[in-house]
Amino acid sequence: MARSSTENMITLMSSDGEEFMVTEKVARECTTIRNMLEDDCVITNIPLPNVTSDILSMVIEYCMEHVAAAEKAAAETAEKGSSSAPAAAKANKDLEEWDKAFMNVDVYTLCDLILAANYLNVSGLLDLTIQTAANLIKGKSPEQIRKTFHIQNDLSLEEEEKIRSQTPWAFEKSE
Amino acid sequence: MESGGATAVGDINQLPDDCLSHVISLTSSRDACASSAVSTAFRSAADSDDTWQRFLPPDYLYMLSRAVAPVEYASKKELFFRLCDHPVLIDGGKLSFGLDRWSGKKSFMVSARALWIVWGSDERYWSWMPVPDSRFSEAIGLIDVCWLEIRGKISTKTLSPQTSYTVYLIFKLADTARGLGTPPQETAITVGEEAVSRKSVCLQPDDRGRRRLLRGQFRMWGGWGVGAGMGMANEVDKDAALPQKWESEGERDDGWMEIEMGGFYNSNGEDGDVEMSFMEVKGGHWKRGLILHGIEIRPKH
Repeated sequence: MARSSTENMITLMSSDGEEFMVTEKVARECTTIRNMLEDDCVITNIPLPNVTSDILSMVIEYCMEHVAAAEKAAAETAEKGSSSAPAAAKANKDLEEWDKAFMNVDVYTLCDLILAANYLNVSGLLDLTIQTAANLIKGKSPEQIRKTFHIQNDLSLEEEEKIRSQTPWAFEKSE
Repeated sequence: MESGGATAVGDINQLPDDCLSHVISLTSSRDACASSAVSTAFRSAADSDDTWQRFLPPDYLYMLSRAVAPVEYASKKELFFRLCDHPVLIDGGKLSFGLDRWSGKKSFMVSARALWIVWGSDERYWSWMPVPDSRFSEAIGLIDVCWLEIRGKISTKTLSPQTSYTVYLIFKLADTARGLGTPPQETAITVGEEAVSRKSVCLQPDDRGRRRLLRGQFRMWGGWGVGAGMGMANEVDKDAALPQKWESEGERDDGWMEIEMGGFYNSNGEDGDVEMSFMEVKGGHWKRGLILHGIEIRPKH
């Protein structure tokens, strides 16, 4: 990565011991890390015992993409004095498309990303992953939700019957 | 990238309760109900107040503060369904407030007491009557008028934004009802200054057919006889092949009838009042036997 040497680099260490060098700007996308940096500005090595290398690399990929998009928009605004609305709309749409493609993951990865986004407090990524999970629930029956997320039903037959009888309309096949 | 293993990695049941609640709160009331039957972790998140807070209208506390009697509830889910199944009376009992179970959007019924009815305060033409087991305690019965004009209004600010609403006249027909067939009654809906909907409706599908039926059954004049005559219009419907030109009435679960007066879209609640009218002033004939409970404004499905 061609970054100016004046930028501080931070090393993030995943639960399985892998190290990731990122710019401070990218690291600051994680509110949890930003708070650490603000508490202790000389910190350069941050262990993240709750995040595996697979997931951490994805979180970093997301943060880098969003930092780059914000920088590009800022540069365009500075160049032209004001941002042109169509260009900004296109950039937003491109980023949305990128997010959509980024969410093309299996449900295990999706859940790990929610956990990591929640732990690292990356609000954009948290919103994106939570919305993606919500979309996987919409319109489905309990059986379909279990199948989608590979969940074992640990409710007793009586409990499930009781839940279904409270709102029978919610369990009718949607038309 | 394979991150799944023998451990519970990636199991949605392992998400913190507030994360799972957040996920479910971005679905719908129906999806939350379905989710509660998935697993114990889903049930706990799907029934949580955090989840149901998102399905209640943002101003639900203000709406409840307008209730005639305090509304008690143990959880927000319970409150949601309380408002869906049993709308509460607000504003001194002249308006009812409820929720649509599918969308959580607000629905209202304006009682006859809050409507503007021409000749409504003259007991020779209209008379108030108690109606037990109904939304409001009273209805107003039409004794006889030539000029039938009923108007109601509700503020767009009170309604849910970005919502299509349908307006219904809630009524019954007494055994003595007549003059409510052709010519049809006319309904109009205005939002702010703009007329958005206009319809012709018939409370009695065919007046002549109905009169024949009434004679045949030798119904008593005077006295309202509510209930006994219910569904009779439908009998007429079966006998005579009637033109389907006008909106026909439907029976409700609460024993009242309803007829669609039209619809409108509430964008941001900044368009002033919605005015709804129901009239028949052109025929010049006498009309009687309409028992009016109110005008309901419900989110369209």
